[in-house]
Amino acid sequence: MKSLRPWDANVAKQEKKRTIIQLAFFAVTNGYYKGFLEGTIYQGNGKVACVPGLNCYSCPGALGSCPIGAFQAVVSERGTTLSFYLIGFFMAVGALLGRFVCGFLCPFGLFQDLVHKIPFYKKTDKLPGERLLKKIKYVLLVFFVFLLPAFVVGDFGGGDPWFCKYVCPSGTLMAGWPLGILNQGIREAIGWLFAWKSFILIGIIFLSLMIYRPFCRYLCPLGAIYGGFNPISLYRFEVDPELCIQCGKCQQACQFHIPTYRTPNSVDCIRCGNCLKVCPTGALRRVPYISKGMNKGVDTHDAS
Amino acid sequence: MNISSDKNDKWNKWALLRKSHGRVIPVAILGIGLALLTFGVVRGEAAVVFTKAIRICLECIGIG
Repeated sequence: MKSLRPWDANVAKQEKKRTIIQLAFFAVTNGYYKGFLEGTIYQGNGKVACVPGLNCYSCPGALGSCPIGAFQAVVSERGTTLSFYLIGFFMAVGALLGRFVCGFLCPFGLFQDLVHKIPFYKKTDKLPGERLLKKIKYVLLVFFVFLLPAFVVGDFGGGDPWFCKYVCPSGTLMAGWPLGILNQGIREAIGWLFAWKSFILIGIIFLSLMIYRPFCRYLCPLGAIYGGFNPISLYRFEVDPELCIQCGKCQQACQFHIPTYRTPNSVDCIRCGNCLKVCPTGALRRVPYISKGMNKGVDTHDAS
Repeated sequence: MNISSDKNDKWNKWALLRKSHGRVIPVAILGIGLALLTFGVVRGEAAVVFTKAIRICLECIGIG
């Protein structure tokens, strides 16, 4: 089923609005412009707090910390195997927004969106083995973000941030490449690991030309966490079964091909909002934060 | 796009069975999350994050 609908006026308008919000949020949270000029990073108090998206704290412009990097930093510390600070952060952000963060506030999501807009001879809806590939992000979350950093420790009792070190293409894009260009000391230290991470990033860029948000679909541990909150977060969608005519337009407008009329709160949904814009009867809508009476809508919990 | 009547029936059943969540669960999770976050700060985890984040993370950039 061909479902990309940039020609739909409502979807195009929504996508434009989303891109503006994404760019604005990126500019605000990566506003240490001096870092981009000098090849250094921000060292102020803002780094004590995390931003919601996958925003490397070694990006020259970053004013806050990456929550996935911060989680690994804490659990890999000697004598610590759990981070209440970050678990609390994930719960708070997840309960408020769910994967709205992915759709609107993540810089690496923005990057993939922009790459996907580039015309390419072969655009596809999904890769072979899609269902299995989607599970990789949970494996990375459990092993590379938690277990390996926490329990594979060196002589001094500290571990490595395995996801950052061996996988994260956001770190390569936002920190590795800019600092490699701007900072001579770093340029001279580049070795096989840099080549490996660059290989992953180039792979993601290539896949992003073909398919919408491959990293978010298959690899992102942060998306795996926030996705779990989609069915229960304050920001969620519902379907009014009395109004829904099951025309499937919402599914066609969804770049992840989620049957939104059945699973409005799928763990894969990044809350881009395209489905809301194409619903002809207004059956699909965002659950209001403040209730004006009893909801007739239905939000199923299926993780399709 | 038309969907078969079987699927319609199944979906309608779900629609009747599943009722919309209240706001109790997300607000409770938000509250617990903020409490854990505060506990983590008191425990010194925010300081660990800060110390890590103000230095260039060699692992993140692929130096090792």
